[in-house]
Amino acid sequence: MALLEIKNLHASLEEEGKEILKGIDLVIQPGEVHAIMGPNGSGKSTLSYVLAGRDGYEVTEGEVTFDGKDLLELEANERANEGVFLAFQYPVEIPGVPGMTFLREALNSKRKYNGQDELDAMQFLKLVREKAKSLEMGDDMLKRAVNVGFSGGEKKRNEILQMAVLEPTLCVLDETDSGLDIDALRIVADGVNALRSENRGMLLITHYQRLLDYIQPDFVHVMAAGKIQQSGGKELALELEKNGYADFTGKAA
Amino acid sequence: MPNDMANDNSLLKAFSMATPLAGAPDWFDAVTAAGAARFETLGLPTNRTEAWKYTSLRGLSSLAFTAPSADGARVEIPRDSVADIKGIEIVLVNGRLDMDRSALENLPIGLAITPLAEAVEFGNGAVKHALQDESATAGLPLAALSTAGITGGVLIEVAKDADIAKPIHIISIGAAGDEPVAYAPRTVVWIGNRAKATLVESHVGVGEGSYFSNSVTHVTVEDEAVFHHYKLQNEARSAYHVAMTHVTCGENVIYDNFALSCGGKLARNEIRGKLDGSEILYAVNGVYMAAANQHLDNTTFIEHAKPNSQSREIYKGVLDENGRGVFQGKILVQRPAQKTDGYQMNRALLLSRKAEIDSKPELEIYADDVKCSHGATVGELDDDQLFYLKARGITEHDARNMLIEAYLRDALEEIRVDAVAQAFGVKITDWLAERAKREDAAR
Amino acid sequence: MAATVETIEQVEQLGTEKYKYGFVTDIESDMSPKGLSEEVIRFISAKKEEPEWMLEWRLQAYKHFLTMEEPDWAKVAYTPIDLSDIYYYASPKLKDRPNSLDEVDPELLKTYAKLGIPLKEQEVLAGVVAVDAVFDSVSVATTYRKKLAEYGIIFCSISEAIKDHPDLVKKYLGSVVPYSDNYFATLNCAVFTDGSFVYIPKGVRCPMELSTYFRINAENTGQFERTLIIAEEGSYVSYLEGCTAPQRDDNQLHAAVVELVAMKDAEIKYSTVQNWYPGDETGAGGIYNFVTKRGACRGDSSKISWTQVETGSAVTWKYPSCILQGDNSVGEFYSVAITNNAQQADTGTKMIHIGKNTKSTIISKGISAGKADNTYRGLVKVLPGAEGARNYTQCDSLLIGDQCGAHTVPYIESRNPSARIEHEATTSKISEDQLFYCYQRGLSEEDAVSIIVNGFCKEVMKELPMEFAVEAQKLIGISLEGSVG
Repeated sequence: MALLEIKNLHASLEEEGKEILKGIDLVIQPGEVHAIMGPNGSGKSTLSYVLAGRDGYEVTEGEVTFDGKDLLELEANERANEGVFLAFQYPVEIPGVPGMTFLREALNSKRKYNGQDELDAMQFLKLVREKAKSLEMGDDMLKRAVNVGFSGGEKKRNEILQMAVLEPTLCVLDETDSGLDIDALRIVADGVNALRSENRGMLLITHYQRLLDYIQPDFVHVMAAGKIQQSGGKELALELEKNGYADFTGKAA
Repeated sequence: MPNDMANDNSLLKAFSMATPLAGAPDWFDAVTAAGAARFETLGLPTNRTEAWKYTSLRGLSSLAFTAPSADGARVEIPRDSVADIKGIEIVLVNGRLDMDRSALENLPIGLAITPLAEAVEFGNGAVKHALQDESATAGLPLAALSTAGITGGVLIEVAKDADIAKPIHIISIGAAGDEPVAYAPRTVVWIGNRAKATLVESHVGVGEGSYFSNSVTHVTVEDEAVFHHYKLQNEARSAYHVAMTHVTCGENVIYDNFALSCGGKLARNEIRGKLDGSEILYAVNGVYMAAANQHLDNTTFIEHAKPNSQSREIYKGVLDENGRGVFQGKILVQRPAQKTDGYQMNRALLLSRKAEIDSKPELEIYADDVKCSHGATVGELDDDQLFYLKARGITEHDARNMLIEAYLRDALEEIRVDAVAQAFGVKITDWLAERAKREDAAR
Repeated sequence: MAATVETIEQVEQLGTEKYKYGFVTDIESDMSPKGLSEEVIRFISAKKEEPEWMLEWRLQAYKHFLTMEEPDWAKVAYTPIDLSDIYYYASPKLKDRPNSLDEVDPELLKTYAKLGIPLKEQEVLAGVVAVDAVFDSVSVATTYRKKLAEYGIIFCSISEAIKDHPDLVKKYLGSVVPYSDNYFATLNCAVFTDGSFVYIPKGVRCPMELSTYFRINAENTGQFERTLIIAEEGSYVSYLEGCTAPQRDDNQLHAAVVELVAMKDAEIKYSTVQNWYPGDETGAGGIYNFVTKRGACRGDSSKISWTQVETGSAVTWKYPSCILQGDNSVGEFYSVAITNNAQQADTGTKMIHIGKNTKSTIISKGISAGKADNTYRGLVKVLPGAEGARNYTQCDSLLIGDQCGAHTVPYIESRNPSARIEHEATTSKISEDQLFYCYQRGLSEEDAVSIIVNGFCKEVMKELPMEFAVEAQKLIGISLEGSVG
């Protein structure tokens, strides 16, 4: 069974009624890493929001099946607890809430959802410290309020840490490389690569090929004007790097 | 308060006697009668009235005010006190329009200035609308009292699309004779769609006698218009000055108000603005400088009635000797006014051990998606700045004065018309020079 | 460890004993005539076997009360209180008290469970007979007495203090909140039925947190508590006041008075978690919480710190204040006020700077949801002698939904040129981004709102003693249930 199956997905902005996704088809099998590349405004981020269940988007046509379940029927938090993780392009600041408290709350929500016992503070601390170490995140960073006063790189590392702790089955990484210097990019990429496994699927959304040097995708899709215009192997990304998106945006128009 | 009633009545009498618009149409008589009735119901406010908590009008009742005499005292314009603006001048003496010294003709195209009496007689729509507006006196006893005895004034109309470059300058002069006088000037301003204009008010006095100016100004700024509205309150030091300004803004308006207060024994400058449109930029700013026996009150009310507008308010004060400052600022955000952006700040410096500041910045918010903040500071000059200046060899005394001047002058940045900023700057310099003289004399 | 938890057990034992002697019948016969009159006041005083001077004081207050009018300046609207319809002594509600937890409203129990209150405590809070009857303050006080007496600390009911420590009570009662202070405080002076008395002798640091956690719950209808805390030179005490029992009455008046006195170098920390019954969604029922709390920093370098988490009551009218008389004295006010549905809160503080170099800090977090109105009202006053006085005030409001209101009304009065006062206020909402981020990490709506609001209140919550903080955090989540979406 496919991990994620998107069929003819159409979605609009609720307020303006403007259609952003104009028929997306995509299948991700367990263990596969897919990259979606495309110019600004192509609908990449919208796709990630629709998958994660953000308010403000209306699915007008099509279906999304995740692990055999109708994903679109689920609330945003249910999708998360089912195993869909979105690494945000712009991670949100939540003043006054320590990162550890937040993450423990998240993990225990998931465990509760799956009928598991909640972790106590000590067990949790041990788990997080272990995961944080490889991402070069110290205790001081974990104690700070969620994303508050974090640099761009720290925010992204924090996203990957959350991903590592929550162990989702589908990781959607939205422009995870944006705002990262080369060292930070390596740390983040190492974090992501460490999470690659045969039962976990990943969807990398990116504008640039650069990220794909570090996280090698199995498949690359080019998205423009709300549709996947072309799919291929990782050589497609290199082609794009060379020729840009002009071909596709032209095609769409 | 039964014992106050007698005083209320004598005030009302002084005002009611004043009206030179006798023979005006019935609707106008009805307006003044309604004003009198409302004042009688409300009475002269006491400190128990929340809106007048910090400003006592008790001093008024010890003076037996009379209406200004009908002959219109021929007084010289005290140019030293007036803001030095080259503008289109309108002169009021004791609340009555001085036709001879007012520019009523040969005005730029798109600008009309009409004596209030005339506008009333012909039933001008803007004037009628303003005067009959019940909300202009509802719960506002002094505005009601003013309405009971309107002494005169003008109607200023700027036609749509007109751009009046030259500032209009109202000079209101108080001149008491042997007896204290009370008067109630009324200004009605109407700025048409997309028009641009600047109004400067100078409130000044001559002579030693006490007088009481109780004015009301109505300003309507239509869609997409830009109106700069500046006021210098530099009344005689024995004067009482109570001014109410009602402002209504339409869509996309820029309204920019600045009030510099330094005169009077007791002065209250109250501006009530209704932001009845979106994309409005509404600014009310000011400086107040009080010295011996002065009480300066700035009270503002900003009502955001529609979404997406912005209001800005910065008031700065210095209080010397036993001067007292009052700042009351309220921002009300109505439920539909989502995305409102409101900012309010009052800063005050006490320069003497006898000075006092009372500040009440207030937010009342019923819309959830808004950005509103306010702040208030009271205190000394910045220690670091003071030290920095001293480290460069400047004496403590001079350093302090430099910083006070900088603090006040900084506020003038809010004035969008350079000539006015300059003219008001002179008043600040004058005030500081006076203060320096006092300091020297004391040493 | 706080005295709270262990005491509940002790109290329970005592209560069971007491109950055997038919305490309930006694209470019924103790009911005063309905309404307010000199006769009722004499009745209360006689029942409490008070000395003559106490009665005189009550009557003096009553006489003054008759000349006063109910204040109307707060931004709250409520059905006026009919003072003639109140029993000022004993409980008309005693009769319908549940006999076991089975008889308690399941909704209430759900709330307790969410708060993580153990079963034994739930019984206390719900007012189950066996436990409730214990709440005779004499018994409660005895459990502390031995431990505290070793330190010379007096912790007893105010009634008891009037009898056993008349000199202290005479000296301090009404010295911070005089009998003529305000309408509700004056009423309290005339009719107060009980409350706590704390005396910390010179140089003593109270070894445990003192608490009225259960006592207030016990006094189901004792709406007029009076608390007096005196901290002598160099002493320290942390006092917790919890009102976590929702009450299911109609609009019921709760007019308490708290007076604190801190002498030289003394420190009093007073924490409150208030969760009186807020009324239902339509605004029917609920407590009118009209409370006067004031502390006097009498001595140099003394400190009084108020921390409050106000989530309950239909109407809250409360301004815990500090009179900073001693030089270098410090006043603090940390407040979280949450209003949901039809609740109204008008709360804040007064900081009166009299002594030199006095400092005050005000941190207020107001959260408004549903159709509620939440007002911060505060006064910072610097008198001419308060050389070098400092105040910092921060008032933040959070609106949840577009039917509620958040208001900030600070009064700032300064008469000293060397004083520095800073006031900042902001208003904001919970952003959609924050909510979605939480949902995406698996948090439910309730948990998301709770965690975000707790973050917003962080600066205040960290001032609460440990035991209280956990409960208060949960309470915040519960009070806001159903406010989003």
